[in-house]
Formats: sequence, C-alpha cells, structure tokens
Amino acid sequence: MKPLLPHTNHRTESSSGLDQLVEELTQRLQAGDAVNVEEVAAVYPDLAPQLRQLWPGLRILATLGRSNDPHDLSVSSASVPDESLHGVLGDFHILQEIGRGGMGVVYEAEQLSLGRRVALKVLPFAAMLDARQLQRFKNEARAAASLHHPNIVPVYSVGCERGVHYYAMQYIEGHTLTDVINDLRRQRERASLPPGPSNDGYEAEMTIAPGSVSQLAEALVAGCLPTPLLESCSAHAATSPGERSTHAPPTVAPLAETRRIAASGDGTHRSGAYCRSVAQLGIQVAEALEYAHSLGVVHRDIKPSNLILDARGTLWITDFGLAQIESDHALTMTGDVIGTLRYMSPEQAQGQRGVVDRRTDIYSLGVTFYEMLTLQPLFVQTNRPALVQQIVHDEPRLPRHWNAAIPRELETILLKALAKNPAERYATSGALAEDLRRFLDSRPILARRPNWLDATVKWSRRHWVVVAAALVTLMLTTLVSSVAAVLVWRQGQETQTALEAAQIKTREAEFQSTRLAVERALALCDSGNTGRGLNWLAYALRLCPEDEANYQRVIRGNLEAWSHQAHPLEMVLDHPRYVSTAAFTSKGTRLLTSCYDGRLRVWDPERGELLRTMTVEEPPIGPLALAVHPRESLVAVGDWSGRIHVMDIDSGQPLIPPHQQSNAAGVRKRVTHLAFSPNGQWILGASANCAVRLWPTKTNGKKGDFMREPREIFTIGFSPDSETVITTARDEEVLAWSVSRGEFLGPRLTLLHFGHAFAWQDAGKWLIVASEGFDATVWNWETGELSPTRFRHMARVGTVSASEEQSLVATGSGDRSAIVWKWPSAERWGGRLDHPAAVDCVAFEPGGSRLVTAAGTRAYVWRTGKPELAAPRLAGIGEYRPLQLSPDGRIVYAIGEDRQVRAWSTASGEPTGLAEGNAEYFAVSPDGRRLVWSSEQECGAYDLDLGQPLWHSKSRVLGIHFSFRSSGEQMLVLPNSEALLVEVSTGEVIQRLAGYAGSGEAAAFHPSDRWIAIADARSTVRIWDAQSGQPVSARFEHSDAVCDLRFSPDGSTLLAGTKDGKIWLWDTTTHQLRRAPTQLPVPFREMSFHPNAHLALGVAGDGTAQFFDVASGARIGPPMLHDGAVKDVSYTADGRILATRWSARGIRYWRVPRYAEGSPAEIQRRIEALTGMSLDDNETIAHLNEAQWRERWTQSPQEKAR
Amino acid sequence: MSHSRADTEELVRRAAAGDRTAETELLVRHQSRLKRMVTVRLDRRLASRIDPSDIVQETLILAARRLPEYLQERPLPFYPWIRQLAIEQVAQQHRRHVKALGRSVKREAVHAGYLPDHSAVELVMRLVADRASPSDDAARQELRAAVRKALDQLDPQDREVLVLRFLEQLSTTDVAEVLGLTTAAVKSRQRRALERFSRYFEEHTA
Repeated sequence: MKPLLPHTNHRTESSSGLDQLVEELTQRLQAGDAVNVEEVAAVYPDLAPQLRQLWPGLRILATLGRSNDPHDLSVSSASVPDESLHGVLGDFHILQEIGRGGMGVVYEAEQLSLGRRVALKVLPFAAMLDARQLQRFKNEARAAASLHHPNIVPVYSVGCERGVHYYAMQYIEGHTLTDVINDLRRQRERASLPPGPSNDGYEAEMTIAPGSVSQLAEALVAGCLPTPLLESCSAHAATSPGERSTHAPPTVAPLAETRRIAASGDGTHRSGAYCRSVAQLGIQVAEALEYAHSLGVVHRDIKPSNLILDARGTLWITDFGLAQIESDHALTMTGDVIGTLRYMSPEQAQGQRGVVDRRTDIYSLGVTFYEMLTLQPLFVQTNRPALVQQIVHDEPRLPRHWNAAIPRELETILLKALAKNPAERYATSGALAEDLRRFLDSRPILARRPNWLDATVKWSRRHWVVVAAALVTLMLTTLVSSVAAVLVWRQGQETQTALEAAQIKTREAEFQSTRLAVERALALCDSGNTGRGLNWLAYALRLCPEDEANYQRVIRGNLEAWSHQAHPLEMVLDHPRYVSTAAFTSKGTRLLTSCYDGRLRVWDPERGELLRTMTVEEPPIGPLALAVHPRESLVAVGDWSGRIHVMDIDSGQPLIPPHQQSNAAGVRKRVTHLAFSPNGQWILGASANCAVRLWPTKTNGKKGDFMREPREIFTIGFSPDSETVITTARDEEVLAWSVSRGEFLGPRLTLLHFGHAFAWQDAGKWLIVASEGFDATVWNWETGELSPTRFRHMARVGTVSASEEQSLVATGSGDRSAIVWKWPSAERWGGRLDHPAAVDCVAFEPGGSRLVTAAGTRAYVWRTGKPELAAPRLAGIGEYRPLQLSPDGRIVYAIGEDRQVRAWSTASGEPTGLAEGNAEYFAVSPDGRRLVWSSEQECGAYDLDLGQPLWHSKSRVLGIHFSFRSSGEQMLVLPNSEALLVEVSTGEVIQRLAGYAGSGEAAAFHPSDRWIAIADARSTVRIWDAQSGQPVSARFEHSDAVCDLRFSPDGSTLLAGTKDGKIWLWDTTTHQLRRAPTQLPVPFREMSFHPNAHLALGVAGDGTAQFFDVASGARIGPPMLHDGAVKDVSYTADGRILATRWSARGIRYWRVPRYAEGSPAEIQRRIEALTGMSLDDNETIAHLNEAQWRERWTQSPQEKAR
Repeated sequence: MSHSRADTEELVRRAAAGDRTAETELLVRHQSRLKRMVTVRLDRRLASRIDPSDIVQETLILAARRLPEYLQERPLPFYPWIRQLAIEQVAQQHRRHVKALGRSVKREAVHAGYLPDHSAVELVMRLVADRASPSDDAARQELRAAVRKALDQLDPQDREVLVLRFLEQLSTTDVAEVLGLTTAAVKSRQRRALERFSRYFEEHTA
C-alpha cells in the first residue's frame, strides 16, 4: 500500500513519529475508512510492535465514537457529509440517498408494512427543536398531510424513530426544476458552441437517457410537454392522486419527434413554445397553491428544488409545512441559506414572519418562473446582506432583456407576481393561474399596474395612433372639425371607460389589501404585539379607499382603542455602542446610561437632552458598572481596574476618593455590578474576580466581604430594609449575608435556573428573579417557597424591575421585548414593548410612572400609563340587576345587599346614600335627575336632584323593563304583558299601547319621541305611535329573541340585536331590512348597542365582551375580559365610559373606543411616535433611530401632549 | 470535520466589529459539535430526562448574552469558550437532577468541569448497546464490560484525552485548546493513553 506519511520519516524509534501515525490512523478511522493494521505495520516495520500494541484500543474507541452518529443527525449532515443513514428506520427500509439540502436528507425507502416505495425525508434540525416547536412542526406537517391535490406530493406520515424525525412522502420519479434549469443552461452553452464532437457527445447522452432530465428539458423547449393537468385541474377536487394514476398517462413525445419540433424553433429556451410550456407548468403550481391556500396552508419555500417534474409533465410541489418550522428555528440556518434566500419574498427576506402570507408563495413562484424563462437568477448577489438588499430594493431586469421570445403578456404576469409590495401582487394564486390561462388562450390578461396613471399610459400606448390621428385631424381641418370632434369625443369616451375600469380594479385591490392589513393588525394586537399592530392599522388606513367611510371608521376605532394598550414611548436615545445599564435618579429628574464606549451619560428625561458625558478612566475601556443613590443626587460608578467612584450627578465631581475592589490575593479586576442599599448608607460592589465587598457611601474604608466561593457573580443587591445582602452567581443559589453583623446567612433559595437580576415586591416579602429559564419567577423570601406566579417570555429574561407604588413589574428579555405586568396577578399590563435587540436593562422611575429600557445601542423611555380604569369595590352592593351609571359617570347605581337602590361614588367606591323600598329593578332617566324602581309588590320614583322620593305605590307593579323618553318626563313600562306610557313625576299611566301582548325586555324611543319600538318574546319587533298608542308598522321578524333595540341618533335606522348574535338594521321609513343581518363571530351571543348606534357590544359566555362595528360586524378594540359572563352594561351620557358587571361585586369600567382623528399621514406619524417603529409601504417594520423618532415626535402635537 | 479555525477567527473579528450576522454564524456553526459533546458528557441516568438539544440551546442563548463580554476579553479561543459554557450547563443539569434524585455528589468535582468518573464510561456502554444487534447480546455484554473496566483503570487525564478525541471527536488542535496543551503534547498523550487503554482492554477481553 501507499505509505501514509510520505512527508515524515517514521522509520525511527522517535515517539513523535508514532504519535503522528496514531493521529493519522485515528483520522482515517473516524472518517470511516477500513484500516488493516497489518498493512500499515508492513509499511512502518519500526513502529509495528507499538502500533500492534495500541491498535485494539484505538479501533474500538474510534468505532464507538462514530457509532454516535445515527443519534445525532445534525452532526451527520452538517459535519460528516458522507455519513448516511442506512438500514431500517421504524416501518421504513432505507434503500438509497436521493438528495440532500438545507432541510435534510431525502432517501428512497420502502415502507415495510405497505410494501410501497416512499421518499423519506429526515430532518436533522428537528433534533434542535424544543417541545413547543416540535409540536408546531407536527401540526404544520399534519396540515400538509391533509392536502390532497394532483400537484402536491402526498405526505404519508410524519414521525420520530430513534430520535430521528422524518416525513414520508409519495416517491415521485422525476426531476426538480433546479435540475431542469441546470440542464437547459448546459444546453444553451452547448448551443453556443460550433458544431463538433462536443455536440455529438451531447446527442449521445440524450439518446441513452430516456426519462432523463435532459429529455424533460428538451420536451419543454419543444413545447410538446404533455399537459395532463390543464384538463384535470378544474376537477381536481373530485380526483384523488390514486385515481389519476389509472388514467392513461400521457408520455413525453418520442425523442425523434421532439428533436424535429425543436428544430423548427431555435432549439433553446428562446422559443415561444418553451414559454408556453413554462406557463402551463405555472398554472399547475398556481392551482395547487390556490388549493392549499384555501385550506390556510402557506408553503413559504417555493423554489425550483421543491418543484418536481415527472415524465408525464406533471409538476409536483413538495415540502409543504417544512419552511414554517425552519424559519421558526433561527439557529438552524446551517443549510443552503443563500439558495433558499434567493427565492424569498421581500417580506420574508427581512424576517417579517408575521406578514408572510399566501402572497409570499406567489412571489416565490414568480422568482422560480423568472429563472425558468430566462435561465438567470432573479438576483445574483451571493452574500446574504447584499442579496437581501437586492430583494428588498432592486427592481428585477425585465425578463425580455434575457429572452426576447417571452411574450409581453407573460412578462406582465411575471412582473405582477414579483411586485415588492404584496398588495400589488396577485391577490390569490387562482388569479395568477387564470391570467396564465388567458395568456395561453390568447385572451387579454387581467394584470395591470394598479396605478391609474400607468393604466392611462398603457392605454394611450395601445391607442396612440387613433389619438394622434384624431388630434392631427382636429388641428389641420377646420372645415370638417365637427367630424374630427366626434372622433375625438368617441375616443375620449373610450379613454374614460378604460380609466374607470382601471380605477375600479385598483380600488378593489386596495380594499382587499386594506382588509388583510387590518386582519393582520388585529392578530398582532391580540398577541400583545400592540406596537406592530398599531403600525399595521395606520398602514391599513393609508391603503383604505377614500369612499369606504364605514371601513375607515373601523380602522380609526381600532387605532384609538388599541393605542390605549400601548405604553407611549417618550424618548429614544441613541448611543455609539451597546447600552449596558440605564437608570433614573431618585426624583426622576435625571436619566443615566452606561455604554460600551466606557462613558456614562446624564440625560434630561423631560427633553431628551444630553447634559453630560462622564468617564472615570482614560482611555475608556468598556461599560462601567452603575448604581444610582436612592435618595440623593449621587451615582456609584465601577471601572475596569476595580475602583468604585462615588460622584455627584449634577457636578460630575467625585465625592470621596474611589474605593478599590480587589480579591483576597489583591488582584484588581473590573467592577461588574454595583448596588446602593435602600437606606443609602452602603455601596455593594462585585468584581470580575468574584469579590463582593461592602463600602460606606460617603467615607472610605471597607465594611465587609461577602464571598463564599469563587463564582462569577450574576447579580447583587440588598433587601428593602437594607439589612441583608443577597447575591446570585453561576449556580442556582441565592446567598444571603447580614449587613450589620457581616455574617453569612447561608443559601436562602435554590432557583430553577440561573438568576440574572432580581426585584422585590410587598416590602421584601416576595423576591422576583429574572431567569435563564425564559421567565421571571417569584419566591417567598421568608419561606423560600416558589410562587406559581410566572412572568413569561420567549427567551431568557435578563432583567427585572418592580414598582411597589404602581403594583407593577417589568421584565426584559432576549426575545427583544420588555413587558410590564400587574402585580400580583402577573397579567400583562398593556402591550409588549418592542425593541430592535435583546432588552438588557429595564428600570422603573421611582414612583413607577415611567420605565427606561436598554436594547442594543438604544435606550428608551416609556410611560407606563395605566391602560384601564380603576374599579374600587362598592361596599354593600347586592346581587340584583341592573347597574347604571349617572350621566357624568361619577355615580353608579345598583341594588344593595339590603335590596334597596343605592348609589356609590365610582372613584372611591363609597356609598352616597339613597334608599327606598325593596327594589328588583330600577332605571335612571337619561338626564340623570330621576330614578324609578319596582318590585313584585311595590314601586316608586325618586328625585335625584332633591334627594327625595317623588311617589311610592304599594299597589302597583311596573315590571322589569323601563325605557325613558329622551326628555325623561315619560317612560315606557312593560308589566304583565302590557305596554304602558307612564308620567315619571306622578306615576300616572298616560297611554296604553294597543295590540301589545308580550313580555319583552327591549324597547326604544325614537329620537323624535314620536315612535316606540318594542320587542316581544316571539322575536318580533313592532313600532307604535307614542301619541295615539296605535301600531304604525307590521311586525319585524327576527331569527331569535331580541336582546336590545336602539334607534340611530338620526332616527333613520332601528337596530335590533338578537340572541343568536345577529345585528339587524331596519329602515324606519320603509320598514324594510337595509341589508342582510350582520353575524357576530361565534362566542358572542347577546349584545347591546352603544348610544351612538355605531357600536355593538357583544357578550360571550366565557366573560369576554367585545365592541363591534354595527355596519360591518368588524371588531373594534381589544376584548374586555371578565371572570364571568357580563350581565349588565351601562354607559355615561357622552358614551365614553362603559361599566360592565359580571357578578355581585365584579364591576369594571372601560373606555369606549373613539375614532382616531387626523389624516392617514398624521396618524401614521402619531403611531410611529407612540411605538418607535414604522411600517413602510413594503410592509416592513423598522425601529426608528433617535433622529427619526424625534422628527415624528415633534410633528405629533397630540403625542407630545400625552 | 469541523469548520476551520481561521474561519472562526475571522467571524470573531467581524463580530467584535459589530457584525450581527457574524455573531449568529459564530453561534450556529458550533452547535453540532456542542451537541455531540453534551451527548457524550451527559450522565446516563439523566439521559431519559434531558434532551442534549435543550442544553445546547440553553448554551447558545447564554453564549449570545455573554458574547459582547467575550469579544472584549477573549480569554480563550472561541470553541473552547463556548464548550466551557456548555460543560457548565451540563454540570448544572447534573447537580440539579442528581439533587432531585436525592444523591449526594461532590460539588467541587462537578464544578471542575470533569464529570463524575462513571459518566463517560456509561455513555460508551450506551453507544455499544445501541449499535449492536440483539443476536450479539453476549458479545456486547462482554465488550461493554471490557471497555468499562479499561477506562476505569485509566487516570483522569488519560481518560479525558480519549473522551475528547474519540467521543467528542475534537481535532487534536481543539483538544489542545481545551486542555491548554500543545498539539504535539496532545498527540503524545493520546498515544500513551491508547497504549495503556489497549493493555487494560486486552487484559479484560483475553
């Protein structure tokens, strides 16, 4: 055999020679070579004895090491490319590898139980997924497995065997479009060569490979690809893949014929026939995508290598459901990233995962077919950032630049699919397929530029001869000008029609995009991403056609309602490098930040002005540790040589000479953590050499050492009473020391994960620890018990702050968000605070009304304003309905435990008097001056102004529904199947409505007071004349019992809400339904109307209440959650405040959504100032830098005023 | 079998210059090696409770957080650094779970980065067990016993170099970085360890 080591002389006794030989043998064994030790020994006789001696151990260990591979596919695919899976995997016998890519390795395999051939894809990345992601992958895969379409590769099963996650699909005998494209490229290159031996070789290769990729390519070029799908596509729903195989399979035309046809063209992709073949393939994919999209499955990774062309000319889409999970797992980008990126849509390439929808597939299909038609990649950059730039910003070269044979219509279709803005692409794959079919049928295609200007340009381009002729005629002939005028007029009419058609199309497209944007916005808002959601709403408003006033109201209502959920951004502070720490001073008058440039910055938090930059060492080295004195204007700064400087914030001058931290051996290292004791007397410092020391604030001299073991310190601090020092280090223990005695108090807690920071609540009772385990946990400091309360994030929680005053906790996480939580319920308080990078620091201003966060090179200040209204307990309230607010909202009326109607202050919850009779029902007049009550035995009225009863009757009953006339002088009561108009001040009956016999609970006066609408229990509504007491309408029939009735303020419409969740709008003049009733989404059954008649409040059994737009049924604002189904609601007179009640004591107050005012551009600026983000017309979210944010801020007076 | 060190160095330089793509790339490129290392180092008793991928993931998260600090100080080359983080994660899991099992394990031994003596051996056994077919059962038992005894007899330094080189499959350069030795010293130590191991192994199989 060949010597292993020709470059070194092993024929000596030197042990280094043996070392080297052993090393090389090890490498060979590890690479999987079979090594025969005797052969090696023969080559190196001098080393042979020693080699033989260590051989058994070397062989067994090298084999053992390699045997780990099947358990670790990420190793086998990423690092050991020639290592393949073989043998049996569960039900599958692996036959051979047929391909590999970023997503995994594909094997041809036999499914043993069914004896069928399958393609088995094993997913190395799956080994890196956590349980949640794995579940998501399985869900996606199941969704993909549910797709049955003749152009989608069927998924047979998804599973996990011996730690290997796999995906079994139908085995398709065919070639990927990547292969086809590559073959066509080769063909093109050969075609450019002069005829000769190489061309003969090509012929030979072609003729010996029937069914080969070249043959497919050839058939495409010749335009003789069989088109099974063009017929079967329309009937695919009824045709299962199994059935299709029984069809006589059309096959590729015999090669000779192919050649002949090809010869008639120029024999390359530059032929009309080729373009038509490609369009046919495009229809197949678009139809399949349309089908998948209709089931809510988006592919997300359409590219040539995921499209397989078989010999029958069928194009198959494979790998449904895989891209989702791949993008979910950012760390698996080990595969062919660029190869995948090349086909990504702009929104995908920018990582805007939330906005990726079916239009992404349309784009990727466009890229694929661009490459098919031109044999050029759409964008050519080979490094990631440059390619992303191209995808996002560069317009592609026109396809006809590369291939003049591409018909203009096909080019137009392609460009529409490739629009940067998803809204400008085909809205559905079906529309794309339709246009391709129109192209093939030589019918006019529908694709146009959505801009009417472009449409005009195109129109006039098509008709320029006529127009020019008309104009010339007009100019030159005065005698026959009338004829010319007619010509021009006709032409003008036609122009007008074309323009209008283009405008209508544009408008429809815009409105569709608007609705999609709103859907996306609300989904983001619902998931707590309020900042992003608001930007999408502002974008939707920009998109919304001007004549869609109703829908604009929906958007404006949501904008206003959701903006209360966002913590307003008050400041953005850019730094040259990462910000490590940020903190407010004790009175909140200054903000300090510590930056990786080694400087400390002092800011005016009111104006965002940089007041001073401080350094403590020259040159600056890195981030300085920072602590702010709890009472005085002092800061402690720790530097990189172990010094702790105590400085006056205002003057920047040191108070005392610096303290010098060092460990027991006297080594001075960087100060990593600092803390002031809450009483301000002590400074605690931790150094990178694991020293933790206590120093006095204003004098020199060490107070104590607090270190038990040399561990890297994660965080340090004091208990709120300044009596105890606590530390966490690179272990899970929280250690405690007594400050006064300097004693070690022992490990107090054992955490579940490393603790990165802590904060206190309830005066030291609870310790909240920001943890490596993706949450902040809460511990009882006295007992050491773990509370079930968790503040959860999607990544490590690295920082936490608490405000006892506001009962709030804030956490910051590697998931690029900070969240403000309510204490102790741990409910999220408003939306997530979205950041451009991991949030490394959060700190409340003392008092808790502002929060500073640090992420990447920016510090942010947010107002942690309360998004909801306080609802103090009402002392002595009973269980009886109803509940009513006074017109000004200051007083709430309800029936007390003593069964008497009582009034409470909404602000304090204190009772304010009122008591009369045993009431079961009551109502307050719209002017708030009178209150009428009733029970089964008695009734009465009360003058609220005078605070005394108006009348009281023990002999009458008024029933349980009262409706006041707008004047408040009269009211409608519905006792004992009667409808009576009663004078409020005296209780006298003044009118009895004829023909009413029901027991309804809903009635309403017309704004003019002329009419009364009353519902009865049989789900009908009728209108009576209030003067005459006679019915003036027939009975309006509904599908279910009516739970609320209201006239619109202009009196033109009567709104009825039924218990099956429908809204009915009746025209009060014609007494006809204005249109089909609007159905609220599923859980919302009962409803009531807001006084403005634009909003309906839907109430679900699970305690959710939600406002809906009456006209469209679209929801407005966040859901309002209660602990039980809402039974009573009441509004203030101005309609701004809603009170809800779900149980005896469960009452809450809510802001009723209003409508954001201003032009779409103004609103956009306002939202950008509010959130610090912006969404551009490419539907990309960007975080604003300081200058950009300030520009928005200064242009948004309303935001400034907040 | 691994990415070249030169590449890693270049990435470290780019990351230090603020290139976020480089940061991600740095973390990502080592995950498979880390997973192998964790698989090797994880105590068999914990293997059913802990997925090595979880530990790798936690390590990467931790590493991402520490990266700025690392880039400032660069106390050791990148892979040994991130491997050390992973070792600590493993040690942490051992402590936690062994605690949970109610066993007493000496903290110092764990903290030093070397695992309790039996774990690497246990792992070897596991690998042998998984690979063999049922018919080889007796032979497998025998082989298992022989490897176990032979490894048990080695002193910790010899055992460590064999684990790094053959089970973690580190290159000699990487082993050198991890152990703080020259590559020549690693090769020589590896050869000596193999000689001793083979002697013990032969004794047990003879």
